Amino acid sequence: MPKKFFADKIYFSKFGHFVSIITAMIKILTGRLVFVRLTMLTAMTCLIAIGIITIYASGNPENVSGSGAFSASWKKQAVFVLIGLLAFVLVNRTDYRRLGPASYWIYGGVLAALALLLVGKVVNLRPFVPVINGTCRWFRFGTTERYVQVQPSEFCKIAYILALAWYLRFRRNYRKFSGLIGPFVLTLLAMVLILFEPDLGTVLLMMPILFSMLFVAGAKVKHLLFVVLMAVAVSPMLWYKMNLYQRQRISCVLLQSAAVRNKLKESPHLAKILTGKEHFSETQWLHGRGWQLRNSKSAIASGRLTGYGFGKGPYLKYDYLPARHNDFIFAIIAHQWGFWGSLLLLFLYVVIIGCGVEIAYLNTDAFARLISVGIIAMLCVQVLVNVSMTLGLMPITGLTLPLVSYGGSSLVVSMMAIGLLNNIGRRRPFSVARKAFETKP
Amino acid sequence: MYKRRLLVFIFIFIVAGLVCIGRLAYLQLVVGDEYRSRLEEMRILGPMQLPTIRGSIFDRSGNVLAVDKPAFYLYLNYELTKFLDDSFWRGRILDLQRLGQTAEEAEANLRKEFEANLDLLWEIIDKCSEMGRMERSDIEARIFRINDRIWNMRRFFAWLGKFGDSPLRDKYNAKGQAVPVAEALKDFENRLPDPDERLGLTMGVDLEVMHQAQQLMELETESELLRAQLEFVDTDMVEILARAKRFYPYGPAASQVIGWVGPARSSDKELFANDRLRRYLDNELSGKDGVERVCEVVLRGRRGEVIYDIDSELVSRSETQFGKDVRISLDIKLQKEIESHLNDPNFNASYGSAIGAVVIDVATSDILALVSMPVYDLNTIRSDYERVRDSPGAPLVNKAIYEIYPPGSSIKPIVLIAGLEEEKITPDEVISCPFEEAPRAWPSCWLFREGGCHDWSWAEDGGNNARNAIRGSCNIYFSRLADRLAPAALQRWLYNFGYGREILPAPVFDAKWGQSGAGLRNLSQSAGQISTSIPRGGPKRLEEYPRISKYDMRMFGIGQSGMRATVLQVANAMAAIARGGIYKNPRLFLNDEFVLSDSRQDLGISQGTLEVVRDGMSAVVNERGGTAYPAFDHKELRRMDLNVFGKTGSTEGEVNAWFAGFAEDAAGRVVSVAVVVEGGQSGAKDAAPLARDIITLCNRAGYVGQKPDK
Repeated sequence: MPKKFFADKIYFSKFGHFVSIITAMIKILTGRLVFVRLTMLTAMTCLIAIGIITIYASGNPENVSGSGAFSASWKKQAVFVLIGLLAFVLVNRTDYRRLGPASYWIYGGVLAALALLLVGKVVNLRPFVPVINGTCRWFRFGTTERYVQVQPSEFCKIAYILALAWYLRFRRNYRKFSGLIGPFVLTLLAMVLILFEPDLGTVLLMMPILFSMLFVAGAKVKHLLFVVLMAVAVSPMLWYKMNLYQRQRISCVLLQSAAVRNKLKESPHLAKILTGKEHFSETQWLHGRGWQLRNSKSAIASGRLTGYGFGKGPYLKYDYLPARHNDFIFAIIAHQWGFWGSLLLLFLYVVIIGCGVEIAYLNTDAFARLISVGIIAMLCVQVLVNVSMTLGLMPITGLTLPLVSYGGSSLVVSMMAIGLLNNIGRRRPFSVARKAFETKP
Repeated sequence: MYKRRLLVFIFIFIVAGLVCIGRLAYLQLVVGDEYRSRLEEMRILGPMQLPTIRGSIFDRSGNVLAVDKPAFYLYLNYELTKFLDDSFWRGRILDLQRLGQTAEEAEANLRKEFEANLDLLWEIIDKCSEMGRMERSDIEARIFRINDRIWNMRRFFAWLGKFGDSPLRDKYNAKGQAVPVAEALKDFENRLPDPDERLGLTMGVDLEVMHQAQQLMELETESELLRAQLEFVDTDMVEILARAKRFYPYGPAASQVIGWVGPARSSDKELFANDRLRRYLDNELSGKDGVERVCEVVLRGRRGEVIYDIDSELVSRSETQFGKDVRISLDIKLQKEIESHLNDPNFNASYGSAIGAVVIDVATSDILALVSMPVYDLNTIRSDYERVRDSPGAPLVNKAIYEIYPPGSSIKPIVLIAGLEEEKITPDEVISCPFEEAPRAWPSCWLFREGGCHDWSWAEDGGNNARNAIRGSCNIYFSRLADRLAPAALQRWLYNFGYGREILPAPVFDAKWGQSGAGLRNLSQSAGQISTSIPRGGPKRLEEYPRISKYDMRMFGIGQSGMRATVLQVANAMAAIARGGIYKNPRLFLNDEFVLSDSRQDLGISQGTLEVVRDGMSAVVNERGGTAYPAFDHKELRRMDLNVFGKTGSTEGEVNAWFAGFAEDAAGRVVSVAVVVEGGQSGAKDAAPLARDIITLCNRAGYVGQKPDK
C-alpha cells in the first residue's frame, strides 16, 4: 500500500520536509474558484519577480558609490519570498473560519508587541529595539552583524483586518452612529501605538481599511461622511501638531508648482506655514525636502514610453534617488520599462484586486466578505498611495509597494494577505441561505 | 446592498487608479522628453578650471621684468589642522557631554581617540621648523590662522542656516551684496547668546573647505622642496603643490612702474564680468599697481576648462590661453643703474631724499627711465606692504609721474619761448636786475639774496638779455616778462608743452581684447596745474583753466605760485625743445596691440626763438656764470663729445631742487632728462650733479654720445 501522499503527516527526513511543503502547496490550490485563485497567484508571482529583479538592478549598477550597500538586497528579498511562501502555506493550512475566534488574541498580541516598541523608545532596549532615524519600528533578532528585523506594524494591518472583520461580522448596530464607536476604538488602539513609533504611513492606511469595511458592511454613508468632515475640520489644528518634516512633506506636493514657489518667496507668512521658515530659498528646497520628489518624478518621466531598459538609465547608475529599492521602486520600474512597463505592473495589481473582488463578491460568509474587503482595501490603498507619492500626487509616506518593494515584513504580510484571499476563495461556502448584509434589518 | 456597495467601493479605487495613470501618462508621454534631456545635462559635471598663466612684462631690450614661475607650497589638510583648534575640542566635548559624559571624561576620551592625529600634527610642525626657515611658533600661528578662517566660515554658515531670515541678510541682499562675516557673527551672538548653542550649531556645519588642503608654507629652495618631499612622502593629509608665482627678476628696479599683483578684489571682478573664463576665481591674482594693473586685460590670460561627465568621460576641453606679454619702453639696466647711483651716498649728496628722475629718448619719445626713489622690492611687497606704505619718502608714490612739484626756474625756457613768440620781448632786450630789493608784489632775484645781481654779472657780456637771463636764471627778467604776457597766452604755451594735462597716454587696447572699459586704465599720473586754483574734478581742456591773476603771473614766470608739474612733464617739455618745437607725448607701452593716438604737434616756434633758448640753456651748463656750470665742468662729459643743454631750478616754500635739460651728440641722438630732489636746496648743487651722472649713465648705455672705450 503506497504511503498516503496527501496526508497531513510530516515526514522526518529532509526530502520528506520538501515533499510535505510541496504537497501542502499543491493542496492549497485545490478547492473552489481554482481559475480565479490561480490567476491571482500568477499575478502575485509576477509582481514578486519584478520586485526582485528591480531590486537587483538598483543594487548592482556599475561604478556607483553607495550602491554596494544594498547590492545583496535582492538575495535577501529572495529569502523573504521563501519566508513569505511559508507564511502563505501556513495561512492556508487552517480554515480561515478557525482564525476568527483567535483574531482578538492575534490582534492583542500585535498590540502588545507595538506597546513593547514604545517601551523601547523610553527605556533603552537596544539592540532588541533599535532606534533607526529616530523611529522605533522594528524588533531585531540575532547578533550585531547578522540579524533579522521584524516590523510589527506591518503584521498589525492583517491582525487588525481579522479582528475588525470578526467584530463586525454579525452586528447590525454600526448602522447607528453610536455603533461606530466600537470599530473606531478598535482602530484607534493600534493607530495610537503606531503613531508614536512613529509610522505615519501605516496609520494613514488603517482609516481607509476601516471605512471600506464599514461601508461594505452597510454603515450609513452619512455617518461615515460626518466622520470624514469632522476630520477635515480639525485638520488645520493637526497641521501645527505635526512634525516639521511631516509638514514639509505635505508642502512638497504643493511646491512642485513654480507658481506656488514664487508665491512663497513673496509671502514670508505663507512660507512659514508651509515650510516652517519665513525665508524660502528655492535652491535649498530643491536640494533638501524637494529632492526626493523631484528626482522621483524625473526618474519616471525620463522613462518615457518604453524606458531605458533593464538595469539601464541614470537613476539606476547614479545614486540620485534615495530609497530607490524600497519606497521608490515604482519610479525605478517606470524608469526602466517606461509607460508600458508601469501599466503592466499596475495591471498585475488590477488582476490581484479583481480576483480578490471576485472572491469577496461571490462569498456569502460575512466574516469572509469583510476580510476580503479589508485586504482589497489594504492592497489598493498601498498601491495607490505609493504610486501617487512617486508621481507627486500625494505626500511622501513610508508606504511600500506591496510585493515589489524591498522589505521582509511588508512582503510576508502581503503574501499572507493574498494567502488569506486564497483561503477564503477555496472554501467559499455552498449556500442558499439569505446572504449577509443583502437586506436591510 | 453588499454587492452594490462592493462595486461602489471598487469604483472609487478605479477612479483613483485612473488619476494615477493619467498623471503617469502626462509625465512619461507629454513631458518625458524634457525630463530626459534635463537628465542628460545633469550628467555633466561642473567644469574643472585649468590655471591662468599671466603674461610677462619685458623692457625695451627684452629683459624680463615680471614673469609667472612655478612655486612649491606645503599644504596641510584641515582634517589635521583642526586638532590645534580649541573650538573643535570644545565642540566635541560638548557633543559627548550631551551623551552623558562629564567634561573631564569627554576630554580624556577625545585625547585618547585623537592622540595619533595630534602626534602626527606635532611631528609635521617639528619637521617644518627643522627646515629652518620658520620658527615653530610661526608655523603654529599659521595653523591657527587657517583654523580661525575656517571656523569663522562655519560659524557664518551656522548663522545662515539658523537665521537665514535675518533682516541683516535682506539689507545686504537688497544691495546685491553678501553679508559681511563680522556682522553676521555679531548678529549670531546677539540672537543666540548661549555660546554652547552656537557651538553646537557650528559643529553641525560641514563645508567642502574642511576637507581640503590649506597652504602652510612656501618651499623656496630646491633643497627645501626635496627635503619636504622626502619627509612627507608617506604622510597623509600633507601635500606639496605647485602654483604659479609672480616673480620680478629685478626686484626693486622700476617698482612703481612695473607694479605688482595681489588677490582680486570685488572692484577688479567687474573687469571680466562677462567672460566666464577670465573672471577671477577666489584667490586669483590681479594687477594692483603699475603696468601690472594697467595692462591687466592683456596680461591676464584666459584659463582653460575641462568638463567631464559623471562617468569621467571628457565632454569638452578648452585650453588655457596664456596671457599676452607686454613690452615697455624702459631700459631696465639703465633704470637699475640710475637707481643704484641715486642710492649710493658716495655719489648722491642728497642720498635718502625722495627723488624723481625721467629720461626720454627724444627721437622716439620713449621713456628710458622713470625713476622714483625710494623704491621697494616687488617680490616682497605683498607681505611687506604696511611697512613700505608707512616708511619715509612714501615709496609707494611715484615721484616721476604722480607727485607734483612747483617747477621753479626749470619753467623759464618755456616762458622765454612764450615771450619771444608772442613778441613781448626781443632776444637782445635787457631787463635790468639791479642790486636792490624788488618792489612790492614782485619777486626778488635769488642772486640778490646771495649779495649780487645780474646787472653786475653780465655788465661785460651783453647785459641781462634773453640768453643771459636763462644762463643766470634771473627772476627779475622772467617775472617782468611773464607780466607782459597775457595769462591765456602763457597758459596756452604751457599747455602745448604738456603742462597741466596728463601726458602719458593710456594704452587703448585693440578691439579684440573686448573690454572697452579696461582700455581706460592708466598709470596713476597727475596733470599738474597751470593756474592758481583748479575747478572741482580737474580741468579736462585748456579752456577750463581759470585765468591767472596779475600778481600770480609774475610768480608763474619763475615757476612758483600755483604752478605744478610732474618730472615727466618737465622732461617731455625739454624733449619738445630738443626736437625743435615738435611736441610728442612720451611713450611707455610698446606693444603693437596698443593703439596710441599720434600726439605729434608742431608748436610753430621760430628758429630764432629756438636758437636763443638753446643758446641760453647751453650757457647754463657750459659757460662760466651758468647755474649748472660747476656741476657739468667735468672731464667725463668732454670725453663723450656731447652738447648738453639744461636749466636748474630751486623752488622756495616747498623746497625742491630741479635740473631739466637734454644732451645731444653729433649723430643727432638726443636724450632729455629731468630730475627733482625733494628737500633739495639748490638745483645747481643738488639736482644738476645727479642729472650729469644720469647723462653719463645714458652715454654708457649707448643712448647718446661716444661710448667709452672698454
